[in-house]
Amino acid sequence: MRISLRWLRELCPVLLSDDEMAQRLTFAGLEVEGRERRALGEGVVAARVVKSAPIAGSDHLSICQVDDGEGTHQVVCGAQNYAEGDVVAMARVGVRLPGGVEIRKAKLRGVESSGMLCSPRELGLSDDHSGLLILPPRTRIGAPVEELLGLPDTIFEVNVTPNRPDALSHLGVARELSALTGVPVRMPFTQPAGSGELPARVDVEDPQRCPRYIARVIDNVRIGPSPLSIQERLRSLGVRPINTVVDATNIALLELGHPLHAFDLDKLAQNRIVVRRAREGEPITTLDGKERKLSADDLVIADAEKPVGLAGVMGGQTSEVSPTTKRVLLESAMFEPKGIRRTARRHGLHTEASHRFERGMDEETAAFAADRCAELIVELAGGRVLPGAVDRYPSPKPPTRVWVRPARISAVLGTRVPSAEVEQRLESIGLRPLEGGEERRLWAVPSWRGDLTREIDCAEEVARLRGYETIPIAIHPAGIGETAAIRAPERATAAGRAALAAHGFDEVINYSFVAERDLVALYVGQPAPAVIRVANPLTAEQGAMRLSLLPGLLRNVSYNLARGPHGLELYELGRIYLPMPDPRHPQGPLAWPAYEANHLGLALTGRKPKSWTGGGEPFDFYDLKGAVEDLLEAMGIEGVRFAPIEVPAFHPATSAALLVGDSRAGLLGQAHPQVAEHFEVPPQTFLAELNWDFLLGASRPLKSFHGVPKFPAVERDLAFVVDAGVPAEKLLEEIRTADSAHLLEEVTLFDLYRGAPVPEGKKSMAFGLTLRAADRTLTDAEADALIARIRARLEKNLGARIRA
Amino acid sequence: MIEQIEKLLGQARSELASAADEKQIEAVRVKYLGKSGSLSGLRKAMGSVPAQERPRMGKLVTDAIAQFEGLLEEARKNVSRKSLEADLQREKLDVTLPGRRLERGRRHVVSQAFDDIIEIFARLGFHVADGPEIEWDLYNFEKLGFPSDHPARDMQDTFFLETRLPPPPGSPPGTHGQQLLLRTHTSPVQVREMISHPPPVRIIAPGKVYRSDSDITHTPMFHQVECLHVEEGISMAHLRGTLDAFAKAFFGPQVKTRLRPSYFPFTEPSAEVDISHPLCDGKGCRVCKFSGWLEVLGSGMVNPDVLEGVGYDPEKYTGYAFGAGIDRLAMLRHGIDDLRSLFENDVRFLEQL
Repeated sequence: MRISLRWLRELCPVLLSDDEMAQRLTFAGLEVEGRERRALGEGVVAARVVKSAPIAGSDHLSICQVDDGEGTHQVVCGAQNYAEGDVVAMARVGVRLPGGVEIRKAKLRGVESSGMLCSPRELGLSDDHSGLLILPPRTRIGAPVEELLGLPDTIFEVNVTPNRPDALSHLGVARELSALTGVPVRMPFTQPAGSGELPARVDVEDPQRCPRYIARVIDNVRIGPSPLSIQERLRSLGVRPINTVVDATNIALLELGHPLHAFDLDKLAQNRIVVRRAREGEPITTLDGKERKLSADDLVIADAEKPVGLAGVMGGQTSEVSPTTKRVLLESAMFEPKGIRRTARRHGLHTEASHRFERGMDEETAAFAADRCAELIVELAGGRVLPGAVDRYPSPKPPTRVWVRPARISAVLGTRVPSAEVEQRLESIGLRPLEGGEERRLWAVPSWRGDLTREIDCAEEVARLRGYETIPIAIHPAGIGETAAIRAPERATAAGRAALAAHGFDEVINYSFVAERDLVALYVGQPAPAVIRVANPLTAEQGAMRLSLLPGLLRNVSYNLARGPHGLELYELGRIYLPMPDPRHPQGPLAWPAYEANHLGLALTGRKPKSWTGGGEPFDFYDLKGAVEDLLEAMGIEGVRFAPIEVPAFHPATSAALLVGDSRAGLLGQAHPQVAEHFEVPPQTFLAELNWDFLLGASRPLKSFHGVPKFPAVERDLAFVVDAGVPAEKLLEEIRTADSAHLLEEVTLFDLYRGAPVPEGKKSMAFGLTLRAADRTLTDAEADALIARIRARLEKNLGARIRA
Repeated sequence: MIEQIEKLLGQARSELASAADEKQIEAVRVKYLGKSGSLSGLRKAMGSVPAQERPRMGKLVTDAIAQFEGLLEEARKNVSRKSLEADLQREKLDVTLPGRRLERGRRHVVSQAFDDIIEIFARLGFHVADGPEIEWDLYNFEKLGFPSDHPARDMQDTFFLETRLPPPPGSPPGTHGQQLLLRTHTSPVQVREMISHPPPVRIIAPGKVYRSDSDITHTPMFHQVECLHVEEGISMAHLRGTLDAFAKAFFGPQVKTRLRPSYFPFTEPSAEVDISHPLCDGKGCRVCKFSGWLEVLGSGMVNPDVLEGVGYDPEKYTGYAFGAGIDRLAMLRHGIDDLRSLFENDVRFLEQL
């Protein structure tokens, strides 16, 4: 809401500077978000164009002789919209215009020019740059234009919260200022209705949607431009001046906050107003020139035949006030907020009127606004207000009453506010005491404060008027047993994140929505599972809730590789969104609508960091697997296995399922070539996606101590050649299940070799074995016996050939 | 003979002194103590010494040999010390070469802020609560005082979901409450937490939230932390206390907080919270538009209607709540000026923080 301080001071003549006003209003809840100074200074004056002649050789410049009351000046001017004898705005030499331009003596096309004739835009008044600002012919020559426009002024941009429609007006802000300073409000003049029969008939068919409708008639109006000061006032507040009558309704709106509408009474069929629901599909052309089809839920103002306005939103063209209008029917009504909001949304309209009616106007102000606007129309357009008003108000609304206990207010605010102060604050915003005593009193709320219905609302009023800084600072300690524990999942998450960081993985955070085509691409020809779609995404790239963390990570890889060739190790820990019931959250009213599973995604590509000591090798599957193994170890997850698997998104030859116990806890491997192509990442990109919720469930991040071994270990190596197709896991299993394998403490693969002299189709492997008995020193003989048994098993079961 | 011994020892001393290594020392030893060495020769020459002189002379020779061996030992030590010194010099490293480092991965700056916030509130006695991001209108709006067709809904541009999922049991069919959306704030966790737990409730709920807006200060997804404390005897002074403690713990002890009246449908009284700008120390700079203050979060006393809606007695229990944008808090701490950069995931950005 734009507020003119000049106007505000007319309504509440406080002696505060602009800065002080901004401060007081902001800390009372009307935040001043911006301000604009509108001033022209003394040097821009009304001047008469005495003579104007084109400059030879220029198609638009003229030499003007201009009288500014102090003398005649020669000024070069490029505008075309004036004639000799017109009074225009001239900036004298030495003036600095609002845009920063300084007027100097200059030569244009060899012609001396002292001063500048200005357009409204050059004066910072509006965007109009079509020609000079033409002043009324009888303007005093030499008068500062500022005075004619009602300037200087400061405009505040005030952020009015949705609960305070009363503050969407100068009167409303003046009331606030009055409550804060004690300076009384000066109410503007009105034309009370009196009694009389009007030449118009009003029927309200839907009193629920239109609880009050007041009509006044003004006869014999003159339609024309409003005085410059009125035009400037409207423009400075963001409203386009139209004509005397429309401007009067807008001035009343900005002053009192209540939207009004003026109809050309003679264009209303049978001089009738009917407030009714529209018929489904009924047409109307609104003032913005758009033809609209109405819904049966829209409330319209109709005449005897057709809708002439969308009630509380926008008028219609057929009954618009025009230069030929003689009789005006002035509408001041109250419409139900929700209905207005539905209509405004349905038709994509947001107007000064709908904005206010949505937030709630009131029936009492409607009457006051009708009287005030009648006065303004007569002031601006002349004519005569016909005595009497049509007032359709079948069920007058009683004032809201609220019980207030000062002790309760003190308790909520955490500071003692004396009863006398509570009462003074409430009275300062227009509440009237009805009954009760100091401890508990009943108050009548003024009609314009529809937001005050409960004691707590009054507590807020008291708090903000006395200032939130009066509330002390206190800490409420946590009680016995209320200290938050470090839960196992938190500990496991911290350990997991530390392991990933140690491996060099940078954490990313991607949007939860992705392009659906990216999800589809992940399934490589197979149908993608059901996805949750956003109905109104900002772009199609954000249309589907992610089913996997991989699309985001793959996009991160391609984004980063395009900006520098290096190795990338990225991880994301976040939710995926599945359209199915969430097994973790109870059924019932608090069930989660969708299954929001926590996943961990990893992406790895490029080369390891290279330095003078080495490095620079390309990342491969085993780097990824190692990271996963370290992660699981850090989280205290045991019973982990990896098994080859063929699934979409992953390369069928180089991918594995992570198994914890018998459950699949994730996938890891190389990106499927088609996936790599779709996301524009290198084929050697390695990905993992793990079910984090499952891993947290399987983790034991707080480990138990098992004692340090008391007896020495025996180390033995075992090297052999087997078929290349035998998986390492199979060998380890054979080694571990040999008799007396409890003596086997650790098995490490320390060499793997293929190629000559190892025969084609075979591989050579070497394991280091650590043997130890818990209760004695192992003898060489015992160790040899165990090794022999292992050898025998490998030879027998896997056809391994032991190397010396 | 005595002169001879003295002479030999003198010779040996100077020869050993100039011996550069074990080998030369050995040569000296052989020269004096070898089979035909000059000192060993003296022993052999003992036969020609008169008998009564023999014991004295014998002792002189023995002493001379012992002395010579002492010299040998000393020379060996000398040589080995010198050779060690030379070896040490040969092994001299260029300590200015770069060390062998591990590439450490970084936490996302938002995630770092998350951890700090959880930690700070744990110290103040708050538990972490969680809720769904895909939420019913019922919990995101209606139970928080935003009825359908209410202008307060304009304060938050909402993403709605096209997908239909089974509605929450107990809500009247076909009502607005059954509309699925992406939560616009973490506040629905307040409602869920209070419905499922009797008072006292003291929680924070950090998480992702969504609004359909995108520019330098808005992204369609961002992070919030909700704070809720409902108990008997809670006042707005406790709200100020918790906010002040949090701001000081997160930004530093010099930071001040202030409250400005505002409006949120689910709090009453409501307040916007400003902190003194930690970077310019409240003196005013470009970032804080020369005011010295920055708006960081919205807060207030839990609206009695909300308490009543979850089955709490608003006459008995009061509480405060606030919701802060975590991304913005993180940006302030690190001097990041474009919110969107948080979600571009450019490693040149990630690895600086």
